[in-house]
Amino acid sequence: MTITKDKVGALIFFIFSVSYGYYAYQIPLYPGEEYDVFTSQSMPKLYALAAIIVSALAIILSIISDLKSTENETKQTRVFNIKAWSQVASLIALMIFYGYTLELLGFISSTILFLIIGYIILGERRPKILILASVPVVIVFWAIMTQLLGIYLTTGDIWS
Amino acid sequence: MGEGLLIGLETAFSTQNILFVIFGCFVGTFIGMLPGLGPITAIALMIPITYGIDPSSGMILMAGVYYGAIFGGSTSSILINAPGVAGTVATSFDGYPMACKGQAGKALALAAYSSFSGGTIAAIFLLVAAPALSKVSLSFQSPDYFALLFLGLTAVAAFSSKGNFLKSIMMTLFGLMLSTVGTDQASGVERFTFGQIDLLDGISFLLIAMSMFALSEALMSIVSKDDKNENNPPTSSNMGSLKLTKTEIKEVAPTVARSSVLGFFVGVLPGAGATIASFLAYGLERNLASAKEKLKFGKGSLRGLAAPETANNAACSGSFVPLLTLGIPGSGTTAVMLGALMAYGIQPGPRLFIDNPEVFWSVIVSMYVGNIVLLFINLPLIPYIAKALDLPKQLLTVLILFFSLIGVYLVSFNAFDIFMMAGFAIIAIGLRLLNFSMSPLILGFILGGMLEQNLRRSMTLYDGSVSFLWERPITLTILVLTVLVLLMPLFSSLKKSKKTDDVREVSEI
Repeated sequence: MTITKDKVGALIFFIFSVSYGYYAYQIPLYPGEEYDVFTSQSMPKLYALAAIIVSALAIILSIISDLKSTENETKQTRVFNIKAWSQVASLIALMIFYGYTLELLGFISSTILFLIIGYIILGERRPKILILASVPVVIVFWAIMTQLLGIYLTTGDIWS
Repeated sequence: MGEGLLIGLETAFSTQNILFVIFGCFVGTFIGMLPGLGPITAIALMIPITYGIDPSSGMILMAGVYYGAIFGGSTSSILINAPGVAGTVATSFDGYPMACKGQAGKALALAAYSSFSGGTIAAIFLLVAAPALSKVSLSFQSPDYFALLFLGLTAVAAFSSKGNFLKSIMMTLFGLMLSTVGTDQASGVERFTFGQIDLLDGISFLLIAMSMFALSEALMSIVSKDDKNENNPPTSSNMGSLKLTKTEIKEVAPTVARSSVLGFFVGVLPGAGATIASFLAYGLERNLASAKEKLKFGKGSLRGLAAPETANNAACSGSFVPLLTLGIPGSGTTAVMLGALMAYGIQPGPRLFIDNPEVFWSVIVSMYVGNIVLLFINLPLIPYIAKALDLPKQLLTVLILFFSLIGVYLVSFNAFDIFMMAGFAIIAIGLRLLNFSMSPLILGFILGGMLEQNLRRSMTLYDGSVSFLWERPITLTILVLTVLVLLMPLFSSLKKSKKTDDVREVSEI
């Protein structure tokens, strides 16, 4: 038996559904509500039950199809592009960093920082491009939002 | 209807709204052209902008973006064999071979004419079908809605690509589960908030749409950019003539007519959309073609290009029928539009036609305008818009991330949303790697609240019993249809496995 993408997906979803079902039973009810036919727990319980059944079925079916097709098994070799994945991971970290700095440094500074670091992560090194593709974009966006549309953009706790 | 149409014309032809359609078509074409980014991303990126304008203008803008994205997808399918949208995959079968033969201009022009014809014919159908269906659906009650929602949710899984039926059901359920996070609207009880104040209002649909589509698509494009076509520069400098000869037009005219009708009806079906319509139309044309013609398919056949292009645009218009009349989106894209409409405080459904006629009619009228814009403004500009494909990817990816994050932040002004988006982007990337599709998730997420509300109401109406499932004829009919739809993939897979077993037995003998 091999571990296929289908099986991993179904298994993860099965575990998720079981824990979702567990928490569905923890949803608090108002006194007397337990006698109602339809409560706040009803739908989550139904979803959990359906999800458990479907994911279990998916696991079983993928095991059966595994047993059937053992003879012409082909080994999937996928090239894992470490550079690209580390770029993706860095960008996600950068997004979280942006969430922290947005209210601290204000929209303009944090966004310029976000864009420049983002470009650098993806391999852009020319200082001229880094500046031209970040500062004017942010200033124009800020001007449209605050001056034209009258939307408030955070100025940053650190400066005030 | 006449009066409604006038309201629609008046709204859609205001200078502001025409500008919105033009802007929407351009932005949509641009985003749709970028491989990996589809119409849902394009529309999701527009939503924060539409919050500042009135609902009909917002819908007009989004509808423009929708066609634009489909058209843009065709352009990248034809020019670089990299469909930006699933609905235009079939376009690349014959479009790209044409471009290779130096007929890129002709292929693009044919795609534009076909899209225009398909979109226009379907918009006429919509004009007739939507108000009629609206009137019928006024007699629908909660149990019928519950059954319809159930049908919509199962249909999207049933029409998914082969072997993905269970995966789509899982994704639909995941979307439904996410929709239960937050305060229960009926009882006021907190569900799955884990003490987080930021989760009391639930997860915003925009956040889910942006992180599951825009963010994850942009991030995944970094990983998959080396896969193919990276060394195939767009042939924007050598497009060839944009003209079609009379005989060529005669050849494709019946194809366009057939594919428009087919596309529209496939689009109306909940769950099926532009992708299925385009493949069906392509298959139909190939089957109808003579043996000699058949050989041309896949090598640059005009009919092979016109069929999917017509059908996908007709399906786009068709998918507005269930959205506008029943409030039930037929596809991931219209689900995002439904979310946007609900954010405006407008409830699409049979009442939309009565309560907000300007939204209802202006969307329909703007479809014509959108098609005209695509044909007369976008087509001649394609060589220039195609230059967008030359833009450095590293800059574009980061900018898409920025616009997605700030789009959600501008609605809530809560940095917690940015963290949640990062979390959902990670989940979406994991799901994409495991070959799960995202459309059922967004559909489940948006319809979850309505499904629960209608089931609760139905059970209250019927004293806690589920007898409405078989007592109401409409409900029963829809549910029978749902069961048939659910069984369809099961039957086809059984048939398939029996066939392979037979083949095996024969080969063993």
